[in-house]
Amino acid sequence: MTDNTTNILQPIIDMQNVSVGYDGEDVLSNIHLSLMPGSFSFVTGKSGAGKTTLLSMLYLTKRPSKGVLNVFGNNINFSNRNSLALMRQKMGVVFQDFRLLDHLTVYDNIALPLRVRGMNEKEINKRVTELLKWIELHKSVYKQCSTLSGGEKQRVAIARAVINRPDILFADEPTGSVDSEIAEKLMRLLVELNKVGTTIVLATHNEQLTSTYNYQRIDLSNGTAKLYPALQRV
Amino acid sequence: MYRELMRKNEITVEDEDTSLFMYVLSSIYMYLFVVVLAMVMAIHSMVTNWEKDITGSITVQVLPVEDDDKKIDNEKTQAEVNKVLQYMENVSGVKSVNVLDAQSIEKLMTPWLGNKVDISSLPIPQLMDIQLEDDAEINYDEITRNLYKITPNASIDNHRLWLNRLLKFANSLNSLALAVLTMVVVICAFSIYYSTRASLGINMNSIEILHIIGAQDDYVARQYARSYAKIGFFSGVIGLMIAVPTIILISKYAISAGSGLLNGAGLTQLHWILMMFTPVFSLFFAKITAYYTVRKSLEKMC
Repeated sequence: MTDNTTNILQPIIDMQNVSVGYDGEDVLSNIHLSLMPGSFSFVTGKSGAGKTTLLSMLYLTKRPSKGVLNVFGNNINFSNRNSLALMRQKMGVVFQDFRLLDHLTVYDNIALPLRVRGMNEKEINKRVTELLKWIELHKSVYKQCSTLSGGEKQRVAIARAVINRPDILFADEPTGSVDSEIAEKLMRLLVELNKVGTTIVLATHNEQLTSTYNYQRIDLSNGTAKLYPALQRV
Repeated sequence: MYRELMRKNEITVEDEDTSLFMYVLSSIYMYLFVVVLAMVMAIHSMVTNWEKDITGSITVQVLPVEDDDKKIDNEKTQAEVNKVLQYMENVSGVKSVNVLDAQSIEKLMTPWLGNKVDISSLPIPQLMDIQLEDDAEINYDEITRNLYKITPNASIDNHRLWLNRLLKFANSLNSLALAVLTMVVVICAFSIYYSTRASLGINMNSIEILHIIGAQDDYVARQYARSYAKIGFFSGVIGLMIAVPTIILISKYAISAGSGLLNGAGLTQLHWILMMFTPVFSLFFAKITAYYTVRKSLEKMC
């Protein structure tokens, strides 16, 4: 019982005095932040403030240049390539430019995270078919991704990010290249996922989005990060 | 099932122009590999046959006896041959003694003297082909001494001396062929290594996506291994298909050249079966080389 309580209280991501950058030059420095499981966080800041850099460090493709970053309770400074990959299997990532494998079909793109985990094809088929109906792309199952529209690609990208039921989902400007209707649908989807327990970290410079949805905000400016809690509803 | 069949690799090695280049290059390497392998096996076979033919027999020669006018004295020669024959038949370990007739000797001499020479006028020695029993322990020194006592014109040739020289030459040839074989394999490994590295560069974006969604290096390496296994197998098949007629052609040429030395150089059924396994060898070789190249490269690159 004590262990469970400890796990619930343990942050899913914890940064202590973390700096990160490129070629020895820090873009962000001395960050102290903790994200709790089941939280929804916006990452805001102007263009070039380091939103993508922060996210890429959090989804473990960049290591911090300084400080301690704990993800799922593991200090990533002491994690080898295989453990990082295993941690990434518990994450989902949605990119602004979708980053689909264009030569593959819709089905194969969505199935990718499950294949990487070594799941059997029968189970993959079941899960992908379910998700295809949910994102209303069940008629485009064998279409190559290069032939899809922007909105369709976005839905495939989201499906790929959530198919493995991730503990945490990162979205880097997911509404940046879709129209407002799709952006609205996407936000509703992320809110639903958050309600079922998925931690969401969404980077955006869309102020309308952050004002419409009342969640905590990590604001990046002047090379550092500051956490603003969600406003208390009266 | 349909999806399984239609499923493409996440890494598109097979769709690149480099893959066609790899098919052509690997087919050439596999062709060379099979031809040189056949050569190695044929030389080995030839050496084994020589040893088998020669270790079971010895040759005794009796030089013709000349009279005072320096002419061949057939009667005296025949008398000496008979004495030697009688002695050799009683040597322990001798299975049979066969005195070669004039026709057989003429046949043996033809490659050196041609068809048009009348050898009856030449001082050709009388030859005895002596077959030994299996595992016979022959004291060659004792026979040599005893033959000399019978007649100084008789001498023994156990073939060892010239066989050793020939074996040395054949073994050098075999070593050379093995070196070429090794070189082909090493060059092939380098080609796979560099082509895999080039392909990793081209596919870096896909690899990054795979890593982000949690793929381990092993997963990416297996994708390459699968593609290269396919290239390896089909290159092996193509190489083999071109190599087999070449080998048959070379064998026919060697036979028609009429060189007795090459008669034992034929390929056995086992050799042909071994060659048929070349595509399988090629498959595993390409697969393993690509796999470890990717593993090592990813560790350094990412």
